[in-house]
Amino acid sequence: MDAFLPLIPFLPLIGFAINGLFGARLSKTAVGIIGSGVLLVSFLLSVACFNQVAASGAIQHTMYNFFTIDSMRVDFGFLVDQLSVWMMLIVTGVGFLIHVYSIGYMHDDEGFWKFFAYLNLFIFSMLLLVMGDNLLMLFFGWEGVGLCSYLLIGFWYTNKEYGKAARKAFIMNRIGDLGLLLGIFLIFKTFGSLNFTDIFSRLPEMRLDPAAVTLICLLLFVGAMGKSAQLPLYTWLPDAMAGPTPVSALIHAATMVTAGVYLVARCNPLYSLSPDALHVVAFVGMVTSIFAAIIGLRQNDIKKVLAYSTVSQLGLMFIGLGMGAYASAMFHVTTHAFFKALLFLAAGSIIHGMGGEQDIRNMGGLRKAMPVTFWVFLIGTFAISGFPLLSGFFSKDEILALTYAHGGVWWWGFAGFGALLTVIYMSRLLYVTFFGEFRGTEEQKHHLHESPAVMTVPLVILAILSVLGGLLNTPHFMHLGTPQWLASWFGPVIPAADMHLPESTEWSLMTFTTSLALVIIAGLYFVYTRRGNLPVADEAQTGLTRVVANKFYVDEIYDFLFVKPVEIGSRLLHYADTLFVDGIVTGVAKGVERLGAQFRKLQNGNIEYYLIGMVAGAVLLLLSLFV
Amino acid sequence: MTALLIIFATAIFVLFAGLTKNRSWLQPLALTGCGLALGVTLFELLGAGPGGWNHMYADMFEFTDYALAFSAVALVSALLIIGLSGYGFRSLHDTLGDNYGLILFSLCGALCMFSFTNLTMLFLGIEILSIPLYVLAGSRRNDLSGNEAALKYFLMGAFTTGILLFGMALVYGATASFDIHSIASAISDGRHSAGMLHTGIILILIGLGFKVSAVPFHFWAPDVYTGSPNLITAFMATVVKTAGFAAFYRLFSVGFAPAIDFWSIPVAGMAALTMTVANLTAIFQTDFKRMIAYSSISHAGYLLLAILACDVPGSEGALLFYSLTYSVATILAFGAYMTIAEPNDDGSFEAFNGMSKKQPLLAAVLAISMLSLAGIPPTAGFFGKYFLFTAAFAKYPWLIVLAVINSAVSIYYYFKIIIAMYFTREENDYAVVTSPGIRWVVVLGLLLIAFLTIVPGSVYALI
Repeated sequence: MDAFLPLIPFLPLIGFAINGLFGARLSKTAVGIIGSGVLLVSFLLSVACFNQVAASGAIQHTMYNFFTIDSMRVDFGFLVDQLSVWMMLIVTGVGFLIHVYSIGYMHDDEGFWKFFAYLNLFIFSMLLLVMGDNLLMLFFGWEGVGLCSYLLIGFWYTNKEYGKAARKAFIMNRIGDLGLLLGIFLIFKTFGSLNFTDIFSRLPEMRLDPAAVTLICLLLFVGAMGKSAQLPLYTWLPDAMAGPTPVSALIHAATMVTAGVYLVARCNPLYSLSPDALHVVAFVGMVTSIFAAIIGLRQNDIKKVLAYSTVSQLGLMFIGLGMGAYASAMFHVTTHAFFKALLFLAAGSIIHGMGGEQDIRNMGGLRKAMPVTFWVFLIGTFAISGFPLLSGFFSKDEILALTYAHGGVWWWGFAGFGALLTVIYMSRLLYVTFFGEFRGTEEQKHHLHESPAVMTVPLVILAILSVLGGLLNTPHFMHLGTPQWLASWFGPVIPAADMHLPESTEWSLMTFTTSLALVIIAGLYFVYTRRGNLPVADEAQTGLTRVVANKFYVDEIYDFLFVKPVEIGSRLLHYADTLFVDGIVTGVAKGVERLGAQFRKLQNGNIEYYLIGMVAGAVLLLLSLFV
Repeated sequence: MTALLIIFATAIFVLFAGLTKNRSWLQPLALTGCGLALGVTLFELLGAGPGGWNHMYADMFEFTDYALAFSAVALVSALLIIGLSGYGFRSLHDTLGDNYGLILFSLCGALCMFSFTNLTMLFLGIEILSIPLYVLAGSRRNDLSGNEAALKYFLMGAFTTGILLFGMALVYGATASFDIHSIASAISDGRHSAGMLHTGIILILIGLGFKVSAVPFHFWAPDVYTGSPNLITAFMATVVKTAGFAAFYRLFSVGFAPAIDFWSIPVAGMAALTMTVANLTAIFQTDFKRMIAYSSISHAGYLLLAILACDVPGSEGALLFYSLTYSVATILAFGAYMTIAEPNDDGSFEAFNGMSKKQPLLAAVLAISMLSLAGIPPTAGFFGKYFLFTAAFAKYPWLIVLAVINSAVSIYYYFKIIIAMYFTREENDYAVVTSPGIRWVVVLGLLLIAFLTIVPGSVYALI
């Protein structure tokens, strides 16, 4: 197996190379088959890896020595253990389905081959991220996915707004990367190694300053906040919806954004040493979860609703991480990958059928025209809402129960509140889109059609996974299947979270949230199928709802707080260089203006000023003689 | 030394060959000379050379692995630049031989700066490097901006030469030696007058700071870079910068090493200023060449980190690796710029609009060099920054934070080009034709970047 291991990430890279270099000359069928085919092989190889890890534990494979500086040795190596092999399965498996779906969705796009090339490159980067055996490899993949995300968000580059969204995503992510990079530096300084196995094996015998561990954890978490779109770095994710819908499904829901969760779960031995850092993680997750959910209540773009829901669900995962329930967070990553990919792809199917329309106010009654899409969307909505026995039910409930166990009733209450908000906006989305009467134009009504099989088959597979995914990790008290299978699978990498609640408490917590969710789902049916309760135009909204509809004006606030000052600072320096320099020079130049155009041209170059500047600098440097 | 002799001989040969009617073989001749010199240097570097030059000429030179490795970097850059010269030199008919000759003479100066052991040799190297450049900057005789650039460069260069020479004199006065090893032992023995020595160091710092365009001695760079012919600018931004930094590092890490506590403060200040001022100013540029000028200043800021970390093992390798990746990426960028902007006489970012469709290879190469300059993984530029930053992190964490912030800022202006080429709808009707010369350079440069990306350790570990 070891010899085949590098194939898993490199096959998509080969796919990228083939499609990127020759894609323009190949037929669309060929491009689609190459793009998805390499992923299928990667997925099958990942399954083989899974079997081997199950049989004989983690695989460590070094391809070659990247570089050695002094005592620092960085290898191009892979660490495939229970955690990374799981991520590999999600990335290649869900990725494969999304590739297949894209064949249908992007069929009429002239950049078809480019799209598949980028998607393959993305999968390559993501696999490097999860398979790397050291932090530098992880950082590689981390930046790579950022780059691909940039390329794919701006895929329809003819729209200027989309280009801006792409840049925003990149810059926001880079702010996070700054934290990650500093964290990596600090880890190297502390442990003298970047290799995960080395770091974690040295951990027990080192007597570390708790403050240093906290600092490392917080810096890494800043990176995670950027990539996983947590407050305050989340604003790029909703904007990232500018990319084609399969991208939103693959990158901004199922895989890339979970990189932050993976990072924290991977570094769980470090985080477990720092309760303070865990508190911060949980708190940020909590605030993000509720904040994003509130914004989601008032969005009318189908993809924006799903985007805020992603931010909110990621918040829930971070609450789980903050409670030390790393395995539960990874469980939610898994189920979320299933149902969020499903919801996005279903949304794509709707957009496809509606000829590009994304505003749910212009939809309605799509149930009859798009039956398959309706049923899978319904399943997705119920799964994310925690409908009993669907996947989201188990994973969400587990996080909530552990939050109760470790954080007490208040934490549980807030986390549960965020989860219930999810139920509200998701049911709203479902009802407004699929029920009632059709509200679009005649032309759209005419265009309306169910998507082709190449799109619906992946949807159905994802729907089945969304239904059954929860069985991976059922709670002990329900005696269903193998209880806590996933948690015990992660056991060698992630120590099990301590669940010390009596069964009766667990039952009652679950019953309470679930029944509330059911009541909301049922109640909202009556609210949103009536015409009078349909969402109104943004301009017609007043007061608080308007603030919510405008996403709390966070973008505007950031613009005012950060973008403008940087611009002003840069402008000031620009002036210092042009106005101040030119100003002095213009003064000089004015005196010699009469000396003719040629002379002035030379004078305009401001040598005097330059020399004055240099002399000033020299004086400044000479001052250091007296320091 | 062999490389130096080969280049010198080639320069003279090219100079005279320029007198003949048929000038088409001047470029191949210059390329052959550089290629030969590069081959010999690599041969010597990998341990197979004859050696034996080290104690000749009154110990003026010392051809260590350090000198050889940097010579190789300069020769690679020169090779690529001369390969591009079909473009930049199109309009020079009568003076083609002089131009190639001057470039090669300037290269001789650079080679001296890598291997000096004596301050006199350093000074001579700097002057041999600079004087041909003053002429080359003005080599388009009818171009006013070129003339202005040449004059400006010369005036300010003369000004700093005075300062540099005075600094050397003071250091001699303090330590009674021009030999950098003797200077070092004089400083560590305490046999020196501190005030005179420190003043001297500061003045030398100013002289070298000017050569590498560190703020506040950078004022010449944007104007001169913009006004000079493109090819010469590429030479200044790469070979001259590499030479400046290699000499800077050698002098301060060998000769002035015992006084590191004194000079590290002003150098750290210069580094911080250089990165910040250059990056923030670059954001506002609308002209590609001017943007590259500021970018080149900002890279001087990063490279100063290597000087600061000169007592950390591995900092030499970091400097070498960074110089090479920076030079290759900059030359590739210039190659693309010359092909796109020069024939259409438009150097603004808009000139690059829609280039991904017209010239996919060129656009991809330019994009990769921008990514590399910005230090985005997994390009070679990322490793350059990574090596440099890790070397300096232990001593100057605050400076590294600033450097990382600055490299994040730099993405903004590097990406402008990528956006123009790939994501802009408005297109222009510029015709873009590539010559075989540029295609070869681009392919070679790409292979080099790919090599540096895949096995960064190999170059890093050379010295």
